[in-house]
Amino acid sequence: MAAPIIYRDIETPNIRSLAVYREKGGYKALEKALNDMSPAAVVEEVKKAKLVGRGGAGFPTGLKWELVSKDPATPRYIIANAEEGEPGTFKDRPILEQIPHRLIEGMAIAAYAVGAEEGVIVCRGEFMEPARILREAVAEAEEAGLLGERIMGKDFTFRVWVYRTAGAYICGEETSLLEALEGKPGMPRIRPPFPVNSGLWSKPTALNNVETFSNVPNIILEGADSYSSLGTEKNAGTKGYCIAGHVNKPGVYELPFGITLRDLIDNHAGGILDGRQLKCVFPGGASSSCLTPDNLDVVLDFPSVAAAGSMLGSAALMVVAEPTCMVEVSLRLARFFRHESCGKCIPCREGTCQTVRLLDGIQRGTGRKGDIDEILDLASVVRQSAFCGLGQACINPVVSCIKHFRQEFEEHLEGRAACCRKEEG
Amino acid sequence: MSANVQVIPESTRERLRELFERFPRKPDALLTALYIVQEDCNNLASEVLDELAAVMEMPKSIMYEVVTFYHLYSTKPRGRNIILICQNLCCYLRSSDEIYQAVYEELGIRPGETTEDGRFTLETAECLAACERAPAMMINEKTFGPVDPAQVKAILKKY
Amino acid sequence: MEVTIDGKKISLEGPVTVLEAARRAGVDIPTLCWHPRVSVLGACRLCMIEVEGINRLLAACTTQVSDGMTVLTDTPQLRKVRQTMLELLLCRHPLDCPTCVKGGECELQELTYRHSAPENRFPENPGPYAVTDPSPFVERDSEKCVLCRRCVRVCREVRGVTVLGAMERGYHKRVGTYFQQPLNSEFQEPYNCEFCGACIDICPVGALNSKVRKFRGRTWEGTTTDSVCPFCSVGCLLSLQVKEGELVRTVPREGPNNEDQACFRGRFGTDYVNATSRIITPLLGRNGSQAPADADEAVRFAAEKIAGARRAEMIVSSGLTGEEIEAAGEFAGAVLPGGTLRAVDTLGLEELAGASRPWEDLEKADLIVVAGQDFTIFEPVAGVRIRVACGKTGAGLIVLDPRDALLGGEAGLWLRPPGEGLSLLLAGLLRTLAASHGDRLKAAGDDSFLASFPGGENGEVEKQLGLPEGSVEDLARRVAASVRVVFVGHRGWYDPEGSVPSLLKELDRLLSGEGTGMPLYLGRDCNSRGAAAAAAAGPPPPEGAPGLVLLAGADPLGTALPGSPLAKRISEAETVIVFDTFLTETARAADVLFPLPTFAEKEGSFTSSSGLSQQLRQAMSPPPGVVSLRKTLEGLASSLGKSLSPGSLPKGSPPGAASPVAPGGKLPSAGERFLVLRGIPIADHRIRLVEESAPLFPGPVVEAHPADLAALGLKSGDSVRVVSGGSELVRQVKADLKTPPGQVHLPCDPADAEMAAFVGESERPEGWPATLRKLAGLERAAGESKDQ
Repeated sequence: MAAPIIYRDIETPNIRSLAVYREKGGYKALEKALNDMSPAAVVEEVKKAKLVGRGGAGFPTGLKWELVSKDPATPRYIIANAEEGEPGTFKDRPILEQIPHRLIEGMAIAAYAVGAEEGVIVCRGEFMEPARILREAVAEAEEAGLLGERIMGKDFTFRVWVYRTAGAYICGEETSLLEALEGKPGMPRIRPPFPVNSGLWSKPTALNNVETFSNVPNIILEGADSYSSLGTEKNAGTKGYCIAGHVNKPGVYELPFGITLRDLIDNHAGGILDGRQLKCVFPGGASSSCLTPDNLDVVLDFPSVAAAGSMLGSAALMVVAEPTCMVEVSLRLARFFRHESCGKCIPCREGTCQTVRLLDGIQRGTGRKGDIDEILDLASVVRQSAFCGLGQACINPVVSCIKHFRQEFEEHLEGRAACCRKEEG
Repeated sequence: MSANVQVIPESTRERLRELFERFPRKPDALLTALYIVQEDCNNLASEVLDELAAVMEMPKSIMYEVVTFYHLYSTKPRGRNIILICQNLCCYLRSSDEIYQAVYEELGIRPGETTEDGRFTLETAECLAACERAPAMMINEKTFGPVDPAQVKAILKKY
Repeated sequence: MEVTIDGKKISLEGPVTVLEAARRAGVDIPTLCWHPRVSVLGACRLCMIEVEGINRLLAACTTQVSDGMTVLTDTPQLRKVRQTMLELLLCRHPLDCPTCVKGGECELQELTYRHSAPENRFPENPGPYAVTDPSPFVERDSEKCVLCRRCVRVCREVRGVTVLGAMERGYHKRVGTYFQQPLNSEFQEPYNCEFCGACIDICPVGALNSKVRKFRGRTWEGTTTDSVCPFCSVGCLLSLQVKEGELVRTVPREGPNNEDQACFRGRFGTDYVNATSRIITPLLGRNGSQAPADADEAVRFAAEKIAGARRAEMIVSSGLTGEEIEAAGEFAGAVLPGGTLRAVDTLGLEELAGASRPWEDLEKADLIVVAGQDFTIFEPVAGVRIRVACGKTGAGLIVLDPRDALLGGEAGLWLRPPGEGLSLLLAGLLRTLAASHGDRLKAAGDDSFLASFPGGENGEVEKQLGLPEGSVEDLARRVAASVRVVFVGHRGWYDPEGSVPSLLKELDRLLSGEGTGMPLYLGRDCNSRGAAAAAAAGPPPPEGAPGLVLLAGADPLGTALPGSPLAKRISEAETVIVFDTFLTETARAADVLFPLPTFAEKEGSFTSSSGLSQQLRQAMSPPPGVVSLRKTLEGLASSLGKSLSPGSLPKGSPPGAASPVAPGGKLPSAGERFLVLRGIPIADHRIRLVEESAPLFPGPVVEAHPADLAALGLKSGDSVRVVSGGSELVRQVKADLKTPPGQVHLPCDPADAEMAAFVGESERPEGWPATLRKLAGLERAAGESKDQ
């Protein structure tokens, strides 16, 4: 099935160029918004489309824009979060590299809606190539009068520039991203105030995920009703599902919300690698709890995955097949969070550190008897007390591994596990 | 005091001046400024940052906070080519450890090390957003994947 | 708004955080990273609370109260969180509490005692972060650090020094410096540690300690007495802890001038009172032949000299208490033949007699204009007040300072009048305000006042001072656009004639419309305002050579003052009688010397620059035989059959406003001629007695901008000859970014007598130009041997 919205026409040769993008109807949505709609009508249409943020938190996009547009302070800013760093997520990179004008068009429509004149695409540090492609695309759009002053002859000015942070997962968190954009260490800010009122340089800021913006041209051009005819009651439209790990055809698949986990694995991702047995799936990247094969029929929208005890997040599905050691998986994830904790608050900084220490002892069989429960206990406190989302979620995946595969942890602790018996010294 | 010998060349200073125009205050441009200087001066050693602090008119402690916070800045000399290999879950599941081993066998360097001829520096990386190509590796701007350990030698040869 | 906290209902006005509300309601919520003087961080998570209707925990320090909110602060869940946070901290923290300097008053110890369990679930595993920092005064022990970042925030937000930072990320995070450099290396210029000690005070644990007072007693031992700092004129309140006859600790305490801050002199410099080199008996005989004498003998000698003198003058230090100066005045009037009383370091302050302006006024201002030089070096706490006020109210800041000190970089407008050009710039501002912004002035200008300031016509000022064209108009526009402007002045060396106070006063009068304009003006010594008020009562000094000179606390020979006339008077006097605590340069020239108690050993009052009189309390007894100045003077008087009597000194009229000296014509071009920029000595003879302070002295060097040095083919360490008018000075030169190009800065280390003589030369050319030349070969060798 061809991608209907976000990645539509991505297979078209050279869709990266402005000319081809326009041949395929690109910037028609912006034209329609500028010619036929008031800014408030654009906000209304996005609200009606029930578009929610694709970064993971699922906040209604139209409402966010309304809050920004109603804040009297100026200037206002549009920021695209291209800080794609959640392990397992690779849905934005194709947009940035192959169809950057869709993002730029979406941002321009957002700018018109909220009354912003400046936008920034904030890429993660490793996105050197995507950043270069984006800069070329921005230059092309400027050249064609689609960015800059008096766009399409209207009283509408909007400029975009491309920024790169420098290698810190925490910058995906919106306030950390703003800190990084202001030249500081990416440590989360105290909220409130929220970025809609006090974002970049303390000005009202509409900060959305790349994928979120890429939905907007379709909503404006085809109308909210057509858009929300796809998807489920709660989540309209499509989602770029990333699926990787032990599957035969890892990749990103744009599908309407409502597809089941089983359907995605079997009918799109080509089934489990080499016909192995499915062990578990982390449906929302490294900070989500894993689902076991019992949950294969869960519907992949935000509420259904939450009901199953995990979260859809950015829909980064990491598939694990037998015979993978879940202690090693837990340790990998725990080390990742220890490495990426910004170090601001005690629970996250010290909690991730202790989790690694405890898991390491369990894996080596040198831990104490109660260490498994110690992790669970520590996790319950860290979840409640950490400063930001990173800290609140960081031990979830480990807890879920223990919950579903406790036997393996106990075998390791007791020195009975064959998989991790390493040579001494 | 070597006031007349500049570690940061004039051409880099020109790039910085252009950069500052986009930001309300010079220190706001720090992340990009550090990239520019690292690109032109190889790394962000103290001699380099001493001069950059003067250019940016900001306290060095704040600059050092930023340099040490982010993974992609280095205060030590770096190789001409930077290799990043993902060590996160999807790549681990697709045997990224073997890629590290293959690089070690070929170049004799572990993460954080630089080859003696200054050609390569190897760094660990968290998810590179290329999980569909796991195990993934980046050399400078370019992403490779899925990388077969047997291909490593051929890939490195190009640099 | 009404909120309920742990069942207690309280009403309050917002916006206010739950933490503040709870404190007002008497509910104690534990905190570690929160501190009232610095911004909110929200990192320690000890203050987590439950709020009815919200299904997650919130941090009390970052949550605003809303009407009708119901808060719980002590539930099993919250206790669990607190206990876990403390366990997590303690497992990375060495448990050497018995020998820790902070033992007994450590916040982590206390929190653990109250909120944690006897056993830690997590094994002890301190970080490998021991820091060996050779810096004086401040000891850093990163292993004990709990990463609350209070020190980082106070260093940055309050002190503006920004030497400390939170380096690295995640579990590697630690408080440190740029490339782990020592606090006092030059690496951070101009953001270098001032050793104010604010980080030590604010540290909740033993991670930041005083090196000097280590193991000299727990803080609750001995006696602690509240007193006033004896150094600059800001007037910081201090607490003095004395144990077994020794001053073991000085810490700032909450005061109207200093809030709770002090500087390195107030905190560490007070150690001088323990110096063993002090004078404890009277001394007789001059210059090297001085020998202890018993009190009766000394009094007899002095009385004979006084009785035999035709004329005598009393010179007092502005560092004496008001009561001491009063006693000296009574003595001069009632006992000395033809007696007069003069104070040193009061130039220009007579203008401000009686007026006061509290530092709080800074927080009512919408524009603060700092007219001075290196506030942040000489009076750092003044800089703190200005910085905090601007931070709190968003007031604008204008700095008029040739040197690159901290405040200049923080200001919205920073003009750098070279050399001694400040008064000319202020006169230009006055003229421009009167000429183009008359509608803003609330009081009428006085033509005769301005007429006494030559030069400074519109447009001329910039040219004469080498400032960008239109900068005086820009300055005037900004001043005129502000509703409430507060001027802060500083008795720096740029103002040799002492005309800046009257200019600031006039500016203030015109803009505020109040009868007596009053800037915040900092004198040079802790009681300059008090001394100026008392000494203004005396008639001008007698003509001709003095017969007898008495000096109380004043050391004109030892301090780098423009004091040649005074020094001349001392050398020409038939007899010199000195009252002092230490054998200063002036004391060495005495025929008879009487010991004085230190500030810690006496009662009395200092009048701070804000016009506030503050009480000193006696914290320790003086050595046996050392008595107060009044007692000594009474003894002298009675041996002459007289007694001290108030009002015996005839009243004189205060001196009129002086004329400023305009720096001459065109600015010198680099490589040829420089303007001399005279520094303020950071340390006086008292500080020099504190051994650890040695690395902070500039030493015998002159400083110039690196670009100028490069143009002259010079580098740091080269010997140069500075020639101005008829005098010259050979010194090593040091590259210094704070010194503006085209100027040569003489730091005036008090030990550098030759430099003091050079700057004290009264016959200097107008504007004080100088040439700077590299010494070569033999000449250099000669110059260097002369240094030694």
